Amino acid sequence: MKTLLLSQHALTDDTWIIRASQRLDNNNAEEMVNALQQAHANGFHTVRINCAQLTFLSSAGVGSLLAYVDEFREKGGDLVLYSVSESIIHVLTVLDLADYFTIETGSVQAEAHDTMNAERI
Amino acid sequence: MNKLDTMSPFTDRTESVENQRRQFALEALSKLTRQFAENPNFNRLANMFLLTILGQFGVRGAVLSMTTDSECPNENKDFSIGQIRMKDKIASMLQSKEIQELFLMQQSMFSLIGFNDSRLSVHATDQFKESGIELLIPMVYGNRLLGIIGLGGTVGDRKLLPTDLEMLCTLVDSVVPLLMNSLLFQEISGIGQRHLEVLNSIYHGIFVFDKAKQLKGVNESALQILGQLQGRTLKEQSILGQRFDHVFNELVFPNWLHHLADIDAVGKSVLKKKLVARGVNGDHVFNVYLTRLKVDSASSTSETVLTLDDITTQRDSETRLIELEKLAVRGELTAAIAHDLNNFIGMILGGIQLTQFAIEQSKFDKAIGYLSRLTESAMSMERFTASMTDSSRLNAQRSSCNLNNLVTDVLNFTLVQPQFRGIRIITTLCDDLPNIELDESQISQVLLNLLNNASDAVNEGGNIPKQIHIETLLHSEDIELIVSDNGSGMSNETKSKLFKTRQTTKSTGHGFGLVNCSHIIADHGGTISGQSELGIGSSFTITLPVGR
Repeated sequence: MKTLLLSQHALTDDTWIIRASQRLDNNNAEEMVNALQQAHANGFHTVRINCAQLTFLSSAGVGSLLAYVDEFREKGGDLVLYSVSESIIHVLTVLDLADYFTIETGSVQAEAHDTMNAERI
Repeated sequence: MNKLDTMSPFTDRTESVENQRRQFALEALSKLTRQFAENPNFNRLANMFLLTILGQFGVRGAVLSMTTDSECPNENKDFSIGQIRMKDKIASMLQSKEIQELFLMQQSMFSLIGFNDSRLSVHATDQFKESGIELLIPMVYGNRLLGIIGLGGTVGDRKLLPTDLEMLCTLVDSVVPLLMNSLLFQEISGIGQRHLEVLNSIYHGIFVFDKAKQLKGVNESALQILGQLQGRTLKEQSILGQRFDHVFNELVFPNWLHHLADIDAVGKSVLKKKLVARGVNGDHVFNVYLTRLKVDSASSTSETVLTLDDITTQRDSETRLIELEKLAVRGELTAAIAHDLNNFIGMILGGIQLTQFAIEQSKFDKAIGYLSRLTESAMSMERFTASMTDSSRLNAQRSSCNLNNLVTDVLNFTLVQPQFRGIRIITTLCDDLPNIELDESQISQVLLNLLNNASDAVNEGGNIPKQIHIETLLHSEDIELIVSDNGSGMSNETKSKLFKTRQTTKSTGHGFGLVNCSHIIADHGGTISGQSELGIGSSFTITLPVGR
């Protein structure tokens, strides 16, 4: 069953918010790539991905995030994963990528950024 | 880290981490296989494969290039994701013979080539370095190189360990068959789509029934035919699955099942019937073709293909054509009859004039003779009209006659008619012409016809003085009667149509007579022919056998 990204919207002129659903896997990895590609093309330097509901991350899901990290960092921005659960951190650790991604685990700080009206996809 | 967890002897990771990495790779492969099973779309599979490699092995980017040997269509040749520079150039390089021959020489299922491999040219090496490619992995299927995957470097400070490389090659080897089969699916779908397009372009309606006589396929023309008969638009989904006797129900297709039941032998056989269907807007006539096809050589079950060819318009046109033909024939007959009657009337009028003239001159004997001839002409006319109800029109009543006398009699009755005024009539009649068996009335009719044609020709324009010459000649076995004129003559086109129906050059439309003449002469065992030259005149020759 295809699970869509929940929502995405602009936080500032420079920062784009994507709210991921429960799973980021083969069913919606391409959608994530397209969303990141679009944000990059629209001039956003930083993308913050709300992982509060994310409980499953496949290799292809990791790949969809990895494909654009360097793109944003080269522009002086970043791809930030926030409200990340322990299970997701474990996956990234096994894949030797936990140190590579910018990860925020605190939910209060993360939610404070996500206050604008969400644009439903 | 679990205290009990031991370090892998091959990496700087614990055994449990190694196992979990393998587990992820296995899950990744499982997901790719499932994706292929659910939707064997090549493009999507290739993209997901590259994303999986990126995530599983932590590389910056990847490029996949299919070789020409894979018979991959151009739109499916190259894919890339992530941080690979000069993607188009790299994809093009991976198509080069240099790279492909290198892998073919390797003769191994998963060889890896680094930068400093001397078998690669300096130029190629530099290009790969510049793009960020650090690994080249062949995609081999059987003995063929189907494509090459290029991987960028790992992110951060990570390095691909030997266990990673082994896992990578296993993953590539496992996914290559899926990619190949998705290409095959694509090709088969394309073939299927092309076949469907061909079927839908066919004018005839095509119905395919399975062995249970349920409709499993129709083309667009079939839907249109059914819809037209039922007076509504039909969709394929609404009729698929219906049984044969429901699709071709008795209400719209009366007795079709009965007529089509003849084909019940297994194996390919074709039945053709012309059947009528009752539509809301009227009846339609179809040529129906029924074919039984074996599903496979081992099976006794068969599919039925029914083809409908709507010939209603064609049949209506044929019916109309036949009616027009009948009308034309009727019209032609009427005109031919009118023409013959006109000839008789002409003779009778001529005879009446002669009788009048004789009485005025008190030449009563002559008048009585003329009246006698008039009576014969009237009786001939009566016989002619009576023969209209008789299927054998040419009901000849023959008697021994002298052709010269017949010519003289016809001339006497005819030449008093207005159209012969001003025309010089010359007769050259053979002496000692023997009597022959002939129907005097019919031969008079023929001669009258020729004389009228000749007078029309000289009056329509021609030479001066206007002249008609009648001649009889005796040969050893036949007698010739020649009627010639110095009228306008006929063109070659007109000559070619002589003695054929509906041929006339006259404004009065009396061209039908020559057809009747030819029938009469033929019935007498003779021949009639015509010659003509434009500006000179025409000549018609009748030949009658002596001794009949």
